[in-house]
Amino acid sequence: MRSFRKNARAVLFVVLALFVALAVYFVYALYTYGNRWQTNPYNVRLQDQKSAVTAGDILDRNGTVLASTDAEGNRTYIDDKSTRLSLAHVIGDSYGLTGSGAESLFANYLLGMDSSLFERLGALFSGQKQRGSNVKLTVDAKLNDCAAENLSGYKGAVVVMNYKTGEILAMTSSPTFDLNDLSAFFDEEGKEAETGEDGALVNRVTAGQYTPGSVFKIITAAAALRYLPNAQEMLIECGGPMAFDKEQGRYLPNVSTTPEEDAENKKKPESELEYLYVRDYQSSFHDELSLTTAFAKSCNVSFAKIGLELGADRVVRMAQELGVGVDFTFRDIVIYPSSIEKGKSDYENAWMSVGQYRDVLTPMNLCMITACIANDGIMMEPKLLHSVINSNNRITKSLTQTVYSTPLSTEEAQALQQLMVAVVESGTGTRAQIDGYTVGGKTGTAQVGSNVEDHAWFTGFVLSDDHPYAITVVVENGGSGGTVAAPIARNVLKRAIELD
Amino acid sequence: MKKKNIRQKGAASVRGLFAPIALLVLSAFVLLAFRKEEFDGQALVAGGVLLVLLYGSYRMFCGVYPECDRHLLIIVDLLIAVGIIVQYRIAPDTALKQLLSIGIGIVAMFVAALLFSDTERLKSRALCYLLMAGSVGLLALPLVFGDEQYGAKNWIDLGFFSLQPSELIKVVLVFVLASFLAEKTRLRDLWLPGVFLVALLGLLMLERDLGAVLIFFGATIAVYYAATGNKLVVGGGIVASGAAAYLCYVLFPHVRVRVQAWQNPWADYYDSGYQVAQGLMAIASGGLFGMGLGMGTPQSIPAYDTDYIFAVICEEFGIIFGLCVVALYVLFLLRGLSTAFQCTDRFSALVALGCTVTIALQAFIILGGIIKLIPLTGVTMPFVSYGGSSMLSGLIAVGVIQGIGIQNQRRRERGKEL
Repeated sequence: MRSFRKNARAVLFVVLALFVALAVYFVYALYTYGNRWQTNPYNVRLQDQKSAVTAGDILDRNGTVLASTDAEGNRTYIDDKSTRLSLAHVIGDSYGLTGSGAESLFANYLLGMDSSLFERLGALFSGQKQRGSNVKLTVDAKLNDCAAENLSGYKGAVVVMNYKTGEILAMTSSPTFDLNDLSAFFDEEGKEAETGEDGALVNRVTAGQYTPGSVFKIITAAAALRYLPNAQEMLIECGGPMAFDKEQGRYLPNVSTTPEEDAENKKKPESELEYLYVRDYQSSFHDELSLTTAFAKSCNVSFAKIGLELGADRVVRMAQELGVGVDFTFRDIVIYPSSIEKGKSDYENAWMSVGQYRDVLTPMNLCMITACIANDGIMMEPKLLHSVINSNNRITKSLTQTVYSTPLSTEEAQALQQLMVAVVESGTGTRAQIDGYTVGGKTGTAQVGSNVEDHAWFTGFVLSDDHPYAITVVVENGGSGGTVAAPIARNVLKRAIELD
Repeated sequence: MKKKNIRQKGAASVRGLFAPIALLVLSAFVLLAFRKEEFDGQALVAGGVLLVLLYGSYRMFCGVYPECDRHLLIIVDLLIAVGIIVQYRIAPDTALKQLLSIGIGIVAMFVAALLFSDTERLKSRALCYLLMAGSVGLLALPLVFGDEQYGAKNWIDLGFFSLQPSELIKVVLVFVLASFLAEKTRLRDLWLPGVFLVALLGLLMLERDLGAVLIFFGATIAVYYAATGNKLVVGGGIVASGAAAYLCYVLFPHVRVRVQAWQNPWADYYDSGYQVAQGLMAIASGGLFGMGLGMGTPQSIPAYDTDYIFAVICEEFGIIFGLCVVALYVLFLLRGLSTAFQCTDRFSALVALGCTVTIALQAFIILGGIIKLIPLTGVTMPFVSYGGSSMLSGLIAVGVIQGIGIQNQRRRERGKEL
C-alpha cells in the first residue's frame, strides 16, 4: 500500500495542477479579455442595456461632442461632416460593423454598466431612465480633420501619438464611411456586409497589415546598434546589387554585378538570368557608407548586408521586442498583430532585413516603435480613453499613463533618433522638415506587386518637450514615401504643433 | 467515552456548516419567489423541498453511518443547492424534475454506501464479467435507439426519463479497472479490461461523446498509475492518445470544428463558435460580483442549464463565486483522495481514487471548456448541471467513496479493539 500512496499522491498533484491552471487561466483571461468580451457587439446584454439606459456621449479631448443620444433614444453623430468621416472608425457604429470603435470598446461606460449599486438603485427608485457615462477620447477632432484632409484622394492611414503619454491624438483611415448613412453596409435582407467596398469599415491604422519596405530598416538598424560592435563607426561597402545563387539563395559576394553602367542606363545586368538580386530603389548604387548615410539614403544593399551579418534570428528578435508578432491586449484599443517570418535562405533573409520578404506591419505598431525611439526607448501603451464622466458630472476614470515595455536602451534610442533626424535633414525625408523644430523620420516605399504603385510610408517624430508627437503615415499605392507620405506627415505635425 | 464526546462535538460543528447552505437556499428562493409581478409560492415550496431533501438525507446518512465523511456530504450538498437555485431561476419545471432525480440519487447513494462498506463481498470476477457485458450492451443502445442532442447521440429516451448510459458506466469502469488492477499489474494480464476500455471508447467515439472519451481515458490513466506507478506505460498511453486525438482532428470534421471554435470562437460566431462566445460574454458581463440572481440573460447561452450552467453561475453570482465553486471541486478531490489514502486494501483504494478523480476530471473538462482553456467537449458539471443520469452517477460515486471511508473507519476501530 505504500507504493499506492506514493502513486496516488502523484495523481493528486497532477489533478490539482489542472485545477490551479484552471483558476489561474480563468482570472488571467477575464482580466485581459473580459472587457472585450463584455463589450462585444454580439453581447445581447448590451442590447438590453441599450433599451434600459440612455447611452452617454462620446467627446473628443477638447470636449467636442462626437456622438450623443437624442430624446427618442437614437444615436446621433456630430453634424460636421468632415469630422464625422475622419473619426468614423474611432467612434465606431452602434451595430458593431467596425468592431473596435469607441461605441463598442467603451460600451460598459457609455451604457452605465460601471455605475455603482447605489446609482442603479437611485435610478430605479426615481423612475428616471438611467443615463450612462460620457466618454472623453484622447483624439483631437481638428487634428484628425487635418490628417484626413491630407490623406484625401488616397487609401491609407494616419496616426499621431503623444510619445510621452501614449495618447492617440489622431487616427484616421481612408476610405471611410458616414455614420449617418450605413445603409450601404447592409444588403436587402438586412444582413451586414463583410467590410464594405474597398474595406471602408476597416480601421487601417490598427487592422491594416502592410508590407513595410524601408521603414523596417529602423528595426534592422536597432538590431545593428545592439549586436554589432562600433555600429556607429563602421563603414559598409554598398557596391551595387548583391547576387544570390538561384537554387539555394546563397549570397555570392564575389560575383561582380557591373553596377555603374547598369545604374546609369537603369537596365538590369546581363547576369540577371543566372542569379537572384537584392538591389536598391531604382537600381541606384553607393560606395562605402556609414550607418547614418546608409539609413538616410535608405540603401537596401547596405541593410541587406547588415541583416546577413546580424543573422536573421537577431533581426527577428529585435522586431519581436518592438512588438512585431505580439498580440497586444490593450484596454483601449484593439490592434491586429504585425508579423515577421524568418526566410529559409540568405536571399529571403536579405529581403527580410529591408522589410520586403513576408514582413507586415500595422501603422499603429510602427507608430508605437517610432514613439518608443523618440521617448528614449520607453514604449508607452497607446491610450484612446481620456476620461469617463458619469451622469452626476463626476470624473470616474481618467487617463493613466502606462509603460508597455522598454525594448531599447536610452543610448540605442538616441542613436536611432540621430539616424532618423539625418533622414529628414539630408536624406530621403527632407520633405518632412518643419522650420524651427527637429524632426526625425524614415521613409518607406514598399513594393507590393509588379503592376501596381508602391505603398508610400513615413514614420517620424518631433523632438520637443512641448510637442512630443510621433506620426505614422501610410498611403496605399501612393508611390515614393519621401515624396508622398513625408509631406502629409509634415502638414499634420505642423497642425498638431499649431493646435497646442 | 471521552473519545466519543470529541467525535460528537466534531459532528455538531460540521452540521453547523449546513447553516450557510440553508441561508443560501432560503435567500435565493425567497428572491425567486418575488421575482415576477405575482408571488411565486412554488419557489418557496421548491426551496423547502430542497432543504428538507439535503438536510434530511444528511442527518439520516450520518445517523445510519456515524463513521461517514461529513465534509464530503456538505461539499456535495452545496454544489447541488447552487445547481437547483440556478435551474429554478432559468426554468422552474426542470428544477422540479431535478429535485426528483436528487431524491432517487440519494437513495442510490445510501445503497452504494452500504455495498461498499464491505468491499470483500464485491471482489467477484463473475460480477465483473457481468458488469462489463452489461455496460457494453447498454452503451451500444443509444446507437440503435438514441436521440441526437447537441451533435452527440448518447441518449436513450425511456418515455418518462431519458438515460445517458455513459454517465452510469463511468462508475462501472472504475470498478472493473480496480478489481483487475488490485490483483494484477502486468500489462499482459490486463488484456480483458483493456479490450473493455477500447470497446467503451470506440462506442463513445461513434456516439460522438468526446467529453466522455476524455473522462474515461483520464480515469483509466489515473487508476492504472495509482496501481502500478508505471510511468512508461502511462507516458506511452498519453502519447498514443495524443496521436489518436490528432488523427481524429484530421479525420472528423466535428472534432476540427471544436478545435477551431476553441482557438477563435469569434471567427465563426454564428455557427460553431456561438456557444463558447456566448459563455464568455456571459461570464465577462457578470463581473466580479455578478449581475444578481435573475438579472442576467442566460437564455442566450445554448445548454445553459446543463453543460453551460457554470457560465450562468458566473453571470449572476459573479466571478468570485465561480472561483469558489471551482474550489469546492478541489475540496471534493482532497476529501475523496484522503479516503483513498486511508484504505488498507488495494481494491478499495483504487475504487475510491477512481471515483474521486472521475468527478474532478469531469468538472475540469467542462469548466476548462467553458473558459476556453481547452477545447469544449460537452459533459455535465457534476452535481450542478440539470440531468438525471449525471446526478445519479455522481451521487452513486459519492456513496461509493463514503462506503469505503466507512469501511476504513470500521477496520481501524476493529484494529484498535484487537
